[in-house]
Amino acid sequence: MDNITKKLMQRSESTRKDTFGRVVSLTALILIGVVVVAIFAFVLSRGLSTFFKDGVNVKDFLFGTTWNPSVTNPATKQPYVGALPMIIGSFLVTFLAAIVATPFAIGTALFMTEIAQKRGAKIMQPIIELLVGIPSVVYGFIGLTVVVPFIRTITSGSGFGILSGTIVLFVMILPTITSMTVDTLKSVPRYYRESALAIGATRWQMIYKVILRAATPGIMTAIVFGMARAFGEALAVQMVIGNAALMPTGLTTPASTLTSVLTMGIGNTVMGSLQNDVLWTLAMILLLMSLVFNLIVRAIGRRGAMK
Amino acid sequence: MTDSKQKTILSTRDVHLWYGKKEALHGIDLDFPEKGITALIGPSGSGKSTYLRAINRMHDLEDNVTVTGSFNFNGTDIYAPTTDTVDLRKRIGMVFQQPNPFPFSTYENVAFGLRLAGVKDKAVLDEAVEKALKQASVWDEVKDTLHKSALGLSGGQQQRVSVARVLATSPELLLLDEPTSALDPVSSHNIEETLLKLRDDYAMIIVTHSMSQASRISDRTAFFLSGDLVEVDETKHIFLNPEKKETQDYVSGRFG
Repeated sequence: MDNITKKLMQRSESTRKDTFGRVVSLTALILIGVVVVAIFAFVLSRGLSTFFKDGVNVKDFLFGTTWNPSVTNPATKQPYVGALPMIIGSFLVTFLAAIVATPFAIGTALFMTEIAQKRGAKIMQPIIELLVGIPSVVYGFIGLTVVVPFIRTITSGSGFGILSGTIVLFVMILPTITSMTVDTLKSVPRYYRESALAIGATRWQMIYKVILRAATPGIMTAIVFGMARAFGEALAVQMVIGNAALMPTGLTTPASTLTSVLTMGIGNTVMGSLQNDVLWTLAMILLLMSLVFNLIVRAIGRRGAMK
Repeated sequence: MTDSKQKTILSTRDVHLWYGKKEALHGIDLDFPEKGITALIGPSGSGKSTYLRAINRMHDLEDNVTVTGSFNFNGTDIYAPTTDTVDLRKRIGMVFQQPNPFPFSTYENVAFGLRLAGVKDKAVLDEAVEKALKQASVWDEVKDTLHKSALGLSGGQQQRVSVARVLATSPELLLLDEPTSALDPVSSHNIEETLLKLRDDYAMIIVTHSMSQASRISDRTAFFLSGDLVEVDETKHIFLNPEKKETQDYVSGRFG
């Protein structure tokens, strides 16, 4: 009797193991949560101090077109911290790269999943994985030594600018969009293909009338992911864009992006000064934009699930 | 109903089919009349679905399937190198086991085949869609939600929309691959009613696992076993006094 009572009162071995597992994973979760919250808190506090501590007008920052934080504007008694050239630069390279990359990505993905499945799996898949894994500095270096001189010879400018940035980013986000599109196309049920063909569709009609339509939410998600990558890319863009914080007047004149200004300037400013704070504000915009990209992806996913 | 003098729409002779090196059909000779329902019955793996899918060349989608033998469909040699599979599949419609409307509206689903054929006139499309949905006995249930996604319909409604989608292109022959096996009894009954209404106008071949279904709706029944055609005759002969012992055992539920 005593033995049974003891057994019932005690926690069993498996319960203890269960508790242990739960504690370990909960700890990991809390740790990651704390890190994320800390990053947000830090970037926001530094980024917002431009406006609250240094008294920069939000409108002047977002819509001002002159970026020269070390010089004071005699009219407003504030340094020139107009971030519009970089904001426009960032969006421009992102959208252009996405627009150029999307048709290539969809074409490649269709080739891999619909037209040559075997060769696609054997040759294209490893190539795409390889492209994803190449460090961005390598892309930037190739851009600097190949793309920039090429642009220089066909246009009159220096070769640095939005166009070079777009080309480099295009190659960088192509594998991202392609591999996600491949996954989406593979998840289109086989019976869509069969019933489209059985009703007398040609292979091409089946692809663009049924498969691409069924896969649209997934492809949109892939494009947004590619754009998020392009928007946040710093090193490769910085190497080819020319880093002139001016309003872009053409695709081949030197320009800059949020990330390129950040990487160029962060080592040359004193912590706590306005020149440093305003870079944090740029980082804050980057962070908020990646949040926006995330929300877009989730919204598309929800709409896709409801269809 | 069946009349031996009725014109033959499809005649197959000595049909063999291999998956790689494995022979799945060992020489099937089978004729189908111009109107009415022929049921293909037999245990799983007997080759009835394989045979059905050979008729509209669905095996073309897979590698390493070899088909030999002659398929004469209203004068067209189905496996001739010059035969256009796209055109062939417009003439031979197919309904699958899983209700599988495309992720579009009901209207667009039914109009799909016609749009492929290049029909753009809205009045023509409207009329064809309504006619096909009425033929498939689903018009009354979907007429108010024609422009909503077909994926929101019930399984039975989806399957009847799939039937309507095929009928809209006016096929000469309709292949049905276990069209009710994924449906509940009420929906199955609705599909059967639909098929019975169509049998005076269409030639249909239905693969089914349900012997009661075969006996209820088919005019002729063919019994497949291990890749061979054991027996084919009028349905009542197959079920009441078949010639072969295997057929007798199968229809009386002694094996399979």
